[in-house]
Amino acid sequence: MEIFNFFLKIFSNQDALFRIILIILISIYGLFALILFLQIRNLNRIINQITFSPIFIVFTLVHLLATVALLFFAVLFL
Amino acid sequence: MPGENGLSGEFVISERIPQGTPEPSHKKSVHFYSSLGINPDNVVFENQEGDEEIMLLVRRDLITNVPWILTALILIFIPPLLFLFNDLFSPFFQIAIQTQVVSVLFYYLVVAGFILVEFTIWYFNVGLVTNKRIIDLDVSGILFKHASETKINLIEDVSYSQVGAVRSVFNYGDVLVQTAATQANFEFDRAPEPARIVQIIAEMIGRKPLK
Repeated sequence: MEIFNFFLKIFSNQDALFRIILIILISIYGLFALILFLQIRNLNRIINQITFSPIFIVFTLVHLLATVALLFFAVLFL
Repeated sequence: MPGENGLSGEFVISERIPQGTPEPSHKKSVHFYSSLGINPDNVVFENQEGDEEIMLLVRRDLITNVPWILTALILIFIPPLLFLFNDLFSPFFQIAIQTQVVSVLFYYLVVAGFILVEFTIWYFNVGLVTNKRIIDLDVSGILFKHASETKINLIEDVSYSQVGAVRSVFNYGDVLVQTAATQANFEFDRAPEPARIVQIIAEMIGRKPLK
């Protein structure tokens, strides 16, 4: 009965439902950002344009860190 | 020891001698948005030999990026437009302002991811022609890459096709490098200035390019 009430509470509260979906989506996206960072780092080893490759890797790292920061914020403060 | 005709030494008659090979000393810097680099400076690749010089760096023409750039711009302007019509949605969605802010930030991260992926696909879809070999790197998604290479002296023919009004106006097309029968053919698709690329490769393999 308690479990039933728990789910009823979640589904009756649009905001709580939205928050859960958002956290799941950000987690999945974090995995994608990690794969993107690793792939771009590997591809930059194959073709290395010395003046731009480090900047490109930093961009993808910032993208990954921003995703992780957003996930932490969503988990801790929402 | 001199022969009857006074010649001596070793003679190789089957190997093509590169003619008109661009001088490696005239290096030109390439930008991150360069789609054609002739004797590019500051570019190295995996397994590059010590005396190997990159003669050509070919990516898809810059104009081929327009569709995804336009898509990204449209995606960037969607949240401000939604906020303009916020009153229409507010009776149906009761979401806290904090959650809305995180949602918008997440949305912009996804847009940034889209831009990064599209740029990566363009940036790493590259053809390299060195004084020793030809390398084709194809990246058609973030998890798919295909690399192939062949020696310059195995190239049999080089040609290009330029079909359609857009390609003619912006001067880009597909360059096809045909190699010996057992080797795969190479294609630099949507390459800028295809006639110039064909001319350079043809001169490298000792062929007279068509004018």
